[in-house]
Amino acid sequence: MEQRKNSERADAAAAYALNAMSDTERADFEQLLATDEALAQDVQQLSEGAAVLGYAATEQPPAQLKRNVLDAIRDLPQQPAADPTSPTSAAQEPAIGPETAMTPAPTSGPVREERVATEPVPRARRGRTAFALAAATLLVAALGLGGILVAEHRQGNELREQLNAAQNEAQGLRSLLQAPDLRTVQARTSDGATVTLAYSSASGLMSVSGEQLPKAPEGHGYELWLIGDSGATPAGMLASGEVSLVEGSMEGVTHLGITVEPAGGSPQPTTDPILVQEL
Amino acid sequence: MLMYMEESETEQRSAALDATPEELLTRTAQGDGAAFEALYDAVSPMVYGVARRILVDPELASDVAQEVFVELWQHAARYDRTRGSALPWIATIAHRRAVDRVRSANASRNRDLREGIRDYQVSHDDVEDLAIVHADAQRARQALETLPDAQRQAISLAYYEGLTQHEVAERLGVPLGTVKTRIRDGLKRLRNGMGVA
Repeated sequence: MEQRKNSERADAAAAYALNAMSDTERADFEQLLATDEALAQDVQQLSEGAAVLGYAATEQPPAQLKRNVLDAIRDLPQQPAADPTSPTSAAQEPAIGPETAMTPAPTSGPVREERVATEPVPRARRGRTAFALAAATLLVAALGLGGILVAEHRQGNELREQLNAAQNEAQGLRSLLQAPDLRTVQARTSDGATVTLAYSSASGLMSVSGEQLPKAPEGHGYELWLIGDSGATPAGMLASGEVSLVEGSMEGVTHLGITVEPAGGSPQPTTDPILVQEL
Repeated sequence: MLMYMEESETEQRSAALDATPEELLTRTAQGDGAAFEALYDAVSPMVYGVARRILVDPELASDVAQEVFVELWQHAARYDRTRGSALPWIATIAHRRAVDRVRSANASRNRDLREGIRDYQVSHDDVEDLAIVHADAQRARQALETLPDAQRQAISLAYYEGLTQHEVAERLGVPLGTVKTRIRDGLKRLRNGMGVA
């Protein structure tokens, strides 16, 4: 009996670590987890196993992502470790993943209290030293030749990334031009600018030329949308004066749309389209 | 650990890159932007890779990856070093966020829409993969390959497709209890396979 119960606990810990529970199962399990230190340790160990699948999925992100992330966090305030009043932790994220996975919830007994009461102090102290060191390092880098080298290195990275992107795009355009079902359309935006589309459903490729588009308003850009019966799917940004290559299955896609969105794009259109072209 | 290094890095930059993800996360919690950037460089291939594997659509994946990094920046202080390494912690956040997204109807439609491209892009991705493969990813892939087929199948369906254990059982046509056992044994084996002490 006891053995069976243990094995059930271990099964549940594994399913939780793999994030393979339904919402209700997860909620039940987290209640258990909050008061069971041994179970929390099991979960932590099994999470290391689950993370192996994450490492195995490693893939180089697009260069744009880093710029977007750094832009997004600039001036964004940080939250303290345990802040139950924080709207983010309370409302938007009922299960803040690893927080609940690795640490008992605030309802737990002495362990949690100890963590809250004593740990932030040494950590903050360590942090201040680290911050001071980091600040000093940055100062040296900014004042000396180091700064220039960093800048040049970054520029080199960016150039390499741009080159890769350009090569990929050229390859896509070549495939597009060779597609047997290539079609081209000249469409006009509501402002009267011409946008040229070339697309092939068979190869799932479309080039959109924004060469005549005026510059988008400050902090904004043109976002492309593939539109079908069930709505609009983001298809990347189109810079004024440039050509964008959209890759993706065009099955069920009936129209291409363009809207003006905040730079970096929106998951759903937030303004009226300046162009909707039937394909 | 998951680090990319260039020989031409300046010493200052290398010092940041040499720091462990745990140190970078702790410094990030103190508002250290340089540490956060180094952390991004170190773990973004994993965060983005998890999202991309689950959501397929590169733009959705970027979107989720950005959400994860914003969360890391805002909530870095929640990371508790005494409770394990930083990478599994970050991987769990990335997986949660990607699965949250894929379980919403919109994303699964998107996923279907984009399934085609993945096939189309296969050869290109292979080349890119070769260029970025590093010790950890390679070791992880090997660990995954050495799992017994039944365990790998159950775990991969759950992790990479965001299925619950019930859905995995349904998909495989095996009893739920069997899936639970496979997941548990598989995760233990994976952890040991990576030589985690």
